Amino acid sequence: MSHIPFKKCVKDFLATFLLACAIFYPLMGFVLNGFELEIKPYRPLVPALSMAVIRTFFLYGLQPFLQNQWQKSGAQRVEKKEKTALLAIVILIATICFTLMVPFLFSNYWLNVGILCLIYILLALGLNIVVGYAGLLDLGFVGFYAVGAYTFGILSSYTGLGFWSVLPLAALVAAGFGILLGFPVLRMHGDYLAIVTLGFGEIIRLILNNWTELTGGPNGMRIPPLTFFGIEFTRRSKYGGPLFHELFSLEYSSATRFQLLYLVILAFTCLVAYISWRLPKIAIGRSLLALREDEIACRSLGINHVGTKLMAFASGASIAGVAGVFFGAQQRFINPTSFTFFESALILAIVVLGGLGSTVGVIIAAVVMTALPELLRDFSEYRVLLFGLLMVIMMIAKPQGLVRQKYSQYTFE
Amino acid sequence: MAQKREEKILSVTNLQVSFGGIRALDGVDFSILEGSISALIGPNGAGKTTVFNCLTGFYRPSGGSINFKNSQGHSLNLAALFGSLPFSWNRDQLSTYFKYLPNKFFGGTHLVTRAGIGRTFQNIRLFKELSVTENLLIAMHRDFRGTLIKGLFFPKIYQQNEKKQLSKAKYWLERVGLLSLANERAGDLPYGLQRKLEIARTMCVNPRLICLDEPAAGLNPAETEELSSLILSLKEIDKVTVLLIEHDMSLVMNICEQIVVLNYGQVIAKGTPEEIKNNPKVISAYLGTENV
Ligand SMILES: Nc1ncnc2c1ncn2[C@@H]1O[C@H](COP(=O)(O)OP(=O)(O)OP(=O)(O)O)[C@@H](O)[C@H]1O
Ligand SMILES: [Mg+2]
Repeated sequence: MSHIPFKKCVKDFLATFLLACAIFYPLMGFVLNGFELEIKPYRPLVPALSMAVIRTFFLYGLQPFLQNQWQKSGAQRVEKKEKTALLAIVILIATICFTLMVPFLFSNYWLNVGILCLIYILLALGLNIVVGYAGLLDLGFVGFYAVGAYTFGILSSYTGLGFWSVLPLAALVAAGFGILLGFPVLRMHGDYLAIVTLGFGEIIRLILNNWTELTGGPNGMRIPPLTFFGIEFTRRSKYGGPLFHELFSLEYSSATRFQLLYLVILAFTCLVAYISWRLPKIAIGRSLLALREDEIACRSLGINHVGTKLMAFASGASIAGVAGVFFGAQQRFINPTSFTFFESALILAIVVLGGLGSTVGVIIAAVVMTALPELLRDFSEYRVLLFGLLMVIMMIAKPQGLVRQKYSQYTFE
Repeated sequence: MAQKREEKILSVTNLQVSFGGIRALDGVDFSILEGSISALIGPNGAGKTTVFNCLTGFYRPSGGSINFKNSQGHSLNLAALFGSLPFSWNRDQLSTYFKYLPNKFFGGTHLVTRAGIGRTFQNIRLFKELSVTENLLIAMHRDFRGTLIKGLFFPKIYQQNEKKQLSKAKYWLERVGLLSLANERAGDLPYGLQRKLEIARTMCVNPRLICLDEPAAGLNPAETEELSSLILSLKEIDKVTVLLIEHDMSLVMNICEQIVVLNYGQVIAKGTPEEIKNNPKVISAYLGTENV
């Protein structure tokens, strides 16, 4: 009886949302500006989404709690597991709605903070595969981030490739660098591995800094503005092509470019988060966990530890590479100072704070660690001090990180 | 039937291993019949674990060879798996040579296991932070392959695969009496159950020869009794050849058909339990020479 109708939940949510859209569009979608009727496509989405969330929450979210009250007198008790599952669904839906609305609710500044958050989530999820799942302590992770960003810079300035074609290429190039790092450290563990990877990150930064002909050295590289499959976001066309705001009959806004970028990164982050969440539940991901626990036992069970390690490095690196491309597209300028050891340490701190191997924890920690400094702009000099304090407190209070990695439970009938 | 039992599944000839100046193994020769239970015994430091490490590919012998009869009935030189066979122009050997050449640099330990030799460790090596069931599932990673895309994006289809895995896991959990503890953290199990879990985990990779390194170490008499019936059942039910290292002589004498005695890296005796019991060399190796 107390089973959660997940499908029904989603169906109800969508139905409410569509109905609310139908009501709110005529009411709020058009704005009379002088004699012109302007279309504001995003305005009605906010109340519609909120309506849907609230309705779903009251329909399904409260049900188990209420039932628990009613059924106290001896009848079947609602299982705790189901309750938390439902709560998770509600929170998930609310989060998705919120993140979807961010680009249309907030100012350009906060939109960019949001993009930065997503980039750090990506980086942390990538590092989580290497450190959290496979147990390979990597202190040079920022190297792959730099490789991604510079792949974008170099390819666009020498071959004229755009954002969309660079995206998969950067992932491949970064994965290649991941494997390049993987080979020499195949037999290393712990401290030795940490030192070598640290060196690797520094080597990449130094090469970028000193190979002036290719990378522009400390002067950095310019990244071309983001386009929507060749359609520009500028106010006036540079090459005479169609413009985004004309094509979709929107009012020109400098934010449109970032809104699109945000949505693209969001989609990609969701994909990576899903993969990262799903990974420990399937055979290949379990091999990673096994590698972390005991490499010798792994080999004795027929797991190819070389391939598994390289796969961990390559997949982590390619995620970082893609994050680098996003970073380039947002900043439109890259130079080696963005890829110092401090970044590596920050990403590692995020993963450790979030809980090694826990996707949800890592995401929360990434948001906190990126958004917090923005909230505390006035105290920016004490940023690192605050991080340190936070780390110390966390390690005392919750040494396992925010969310402890939970493993799947199996039932045998 | 009787003839089949006479076939050797493993033969070790003139095996040599040295660590720096120490000759840990110095010309070890023995062979094991398919479907038998054999024991490798000897005083501490005799080189028993070193033999196991060679059999399962963790050490590369500096001399001698190990031949294993694979599931197709061919004799497989384990050195071939590591790309350390000498180069020759023989056409058949040339293809094996190049096939396994990369393993010379990257290691091919896992290939030995895939060929059918499973092992356990003297100091238990479970995946301690993972659950009991997950320990078994990890061992079954080769049973249902090609599942990355399916596993990530088609959980429903994947679950059907997993059902088969889980039923096999359930089978082994029942065999070793761990079904009620299936979701426990493996590191939290009592010592005796950890030993059993390790054996079950090794059995999940479908070995045809299982090497047990001191399976009864640290067990109480009741647990040892259960263990010996488990080992016998491996032979009877699963038709696996068992090779075990053990210091518990009553266990060895009760269940083994053949015993190989090592001392200082050399085989000092081979034979049935009766023969070994009365062998003066063995007695002196264990008790020291008698001064009469
Ligand atoms: N990796 C190694 N490096 C150097 N010496 C080693 C190594 N492995 C084993 N040895 C040496 O080889 C000899 C044989 O060791 P081994 O572990 O095979 O003994 P064992 O018969 O298993 O003893 P035990 O009954 O105590 O387990 C010992 O002298 C040991 O010190
Ligand atoms: Mg030993």
